[in-house]
Amino acid sequence: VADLTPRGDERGRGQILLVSAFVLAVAFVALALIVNSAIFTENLAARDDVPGSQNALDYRYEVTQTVGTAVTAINADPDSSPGDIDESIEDISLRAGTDQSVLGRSVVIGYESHTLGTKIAQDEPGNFTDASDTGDWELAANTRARNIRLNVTDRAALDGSSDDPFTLVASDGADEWRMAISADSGSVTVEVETPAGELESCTRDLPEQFTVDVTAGTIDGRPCYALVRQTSGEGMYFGVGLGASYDVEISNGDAIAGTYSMIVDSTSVSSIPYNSYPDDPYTENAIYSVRANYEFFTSQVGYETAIVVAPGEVPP
Amino acid sequence: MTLEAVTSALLLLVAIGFALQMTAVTPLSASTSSQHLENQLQKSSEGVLGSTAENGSLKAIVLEWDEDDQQFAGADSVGYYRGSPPDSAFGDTLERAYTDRNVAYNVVVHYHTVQGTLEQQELIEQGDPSDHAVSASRTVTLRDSDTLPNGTSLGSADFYAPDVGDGPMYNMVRVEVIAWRI
Repeated sequence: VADLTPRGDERGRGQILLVSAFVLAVAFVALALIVNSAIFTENLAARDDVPGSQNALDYRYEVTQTVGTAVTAINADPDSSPGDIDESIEDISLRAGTDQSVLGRSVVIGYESHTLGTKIAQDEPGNFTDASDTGDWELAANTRARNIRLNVTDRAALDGSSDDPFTLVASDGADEWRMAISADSGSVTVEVETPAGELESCTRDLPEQFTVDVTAGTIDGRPCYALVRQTSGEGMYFGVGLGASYDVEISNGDAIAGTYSMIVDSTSVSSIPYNSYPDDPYTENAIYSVRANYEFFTSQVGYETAIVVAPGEVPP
Repeated sequence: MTLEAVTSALLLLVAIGFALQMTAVTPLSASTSSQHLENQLQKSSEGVLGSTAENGSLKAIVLEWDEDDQQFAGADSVGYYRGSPPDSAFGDTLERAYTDRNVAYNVVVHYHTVQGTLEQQELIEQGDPSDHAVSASRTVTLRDSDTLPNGTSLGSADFYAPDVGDGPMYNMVRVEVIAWRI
């Protein structure tokens, strides 16, 4: 190789150009590699640990919801009996399998067992009193309850009851969880007191008819933190701080008007305070929870687990 | 003009050309960085379906069926919504998630037939998806006692999906959102 800049030799300039172009090209290649690896790292970071594993969990949730709908539907349907759940799950498995097969996934849901409970309900609007029109009564003893929904059909019945408001009580003998509903003309207050002594309330302007979903923690479809959690994280939901089983009671059932329903985890609810269906209030055999087996397979992921479905149950 | 000069000029051009390859990423070009955008779109589509399924507006739009006209209530004459989404909670969620971000989407309801096959009913259509479209779906379970906007329960309604469910169940539909950047 000749000198890069031989004096008086203009032809040598081409070499400088050549070398600098070469350096520039290498620099660009290096830059491209760096930028691409940065993009690739970001991309990897946003992906699942195992490709498609998130789908297995997402679909498990959907299956839980679907089986929950089947449980709710069977409990609500007078023509169905709790024993129908195994056929329903078989049907769901067939549909879910077909649905997911077009996405390249294989899904099988197998019925395992169910726990019987009792549905306690009042379908015709009226006071929340027992069969003999007593306002203070025990709905069920030594049990747990889920899916407690109170539909108030006449807000005026709550009016002026702030001294002795309608109260739903869960009591394990030592402690009590209490929820009182009172109203002052249009504004309704739901007040919750936990065994830990926490007291919280939600006050809302509500229409003449509204629903208090005690276990979902909503009033007229909107969340009420007094039924869920305080901002400090302290749980307020139904039966929090009580033992594994508790008594469910109503006080001042004549200070409210509407319908209600709940499912309790007991098959031996005393029949004394109840009428027989279709007279209110009544009890009926119902499914408390269902256990099923869930299998999810793709070419990359295999996942199998047992799911327990009890729609409207409060967190443990 | 020497051979070196010509070669070096060519080399420089090739180097610049190569460099341009790594920067010329438009929303429509397939590359690792648009894969990133696809991932984001995928997740936000799943989020839209998840939140609307949770607050009930997804089920409400699936049931927004006009029995007399055999089409979605207030839809175009083709039977489904074209262009803008329906005026509903689900439509508003889609609008907030996609329209302002230049994302187009189709929504399709897949349902089961008595024969055990799958059929589909278009719900919203905004055009043909591009090669970079993402798809997310969510199951909606229908019961015989669910009601159409006119108050008829599904068990006795003239609905697009047939009653294939066991006992009080009606059908299990899969709502699919196909979204792509425009």
